[in-house]
Amino acid sequence: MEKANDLLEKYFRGETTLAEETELKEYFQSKDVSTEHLVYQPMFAAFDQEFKIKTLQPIEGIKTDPKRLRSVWIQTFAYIGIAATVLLAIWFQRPKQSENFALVSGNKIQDTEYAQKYAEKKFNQVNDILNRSMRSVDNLDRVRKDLQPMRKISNVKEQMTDLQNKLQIK
Amino acid sequence: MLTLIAVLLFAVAIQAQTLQSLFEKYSEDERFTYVTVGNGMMNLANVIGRHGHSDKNKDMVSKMKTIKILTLEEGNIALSKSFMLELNKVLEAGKFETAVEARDKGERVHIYYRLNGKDNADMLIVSKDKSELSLIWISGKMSKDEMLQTFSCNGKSVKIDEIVS
Repeated sequence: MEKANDLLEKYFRGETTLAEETELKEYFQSKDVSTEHLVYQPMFAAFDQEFKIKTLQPIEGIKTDPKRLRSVWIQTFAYIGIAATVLLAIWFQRPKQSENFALVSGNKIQDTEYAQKYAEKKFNQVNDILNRSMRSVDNLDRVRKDLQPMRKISNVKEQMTDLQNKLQIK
Repeated sequence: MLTLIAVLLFAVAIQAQTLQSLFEKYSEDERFTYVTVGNGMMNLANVIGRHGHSDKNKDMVSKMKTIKILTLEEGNIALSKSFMLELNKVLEAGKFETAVEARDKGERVHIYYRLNGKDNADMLIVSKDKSELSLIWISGKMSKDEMLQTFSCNGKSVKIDEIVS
């Protein structure tokens, strides 16, 4: 009786060994259970019942059908595909970081206006050089145009010489 | 057929990479100034092209994807020479054609272009004077004629047969 009390105390403190627990179980299954310990008997009986419970269905029975397994895989791949497409769409639609910047002496200047002004300056420089080098060609054209009246005079002179020659022959 | 397409794509990628790598290399160099304009190019419509502020000009500018500019200032002759040597290799490997060569009192402008496929074109402008060397790379969905209208000479577009040297 005293031993049963000690074992119960130890049990509730969580200090019993497996052998002591088996002893307690056997005690509560016996007919010698004292009246003051009867309160604990259903508890130990319930523990004993739990050990006796077996799975109602063998594990083999739960095995999935290969067709069903295939459709699950197809569905999984389809969902992954949709998710990837959505992510890609979001990636392409994301607001792009400004592509206008300058790197001056290793320092990055993220200033659209500065970059555009710099480009404008360079374009103007190139246009200036092209315009200046083309000016000589323009000047040649102008000289050629200016010489047109002179060409007419020389034509008249030639015609006069021709006439003179013809008159002398006659 | 697929292999041929893959090889062609690879070749195009290598071509672009060469020019790209040249820009990447020197953009990191502190002696160079590097500027890139990727959007808002409409603001440059008044300096690009021969049509002034017209819609034709805006249409042309809208076809440009990026403008990258690399400038070496303060007349570093040794660096300028080595850079020009590298650039010439890139021009040869990239199969660039000369569009314009202009020279005026120590200032030079060389314009090169190449076509990538039907509509894609790269235009490279090398501008050199006593104080600086600039390299301007324009890429866009433009035809050869559109590319050559980027710069104007006294209101006229630059044409290949108007080479001045």
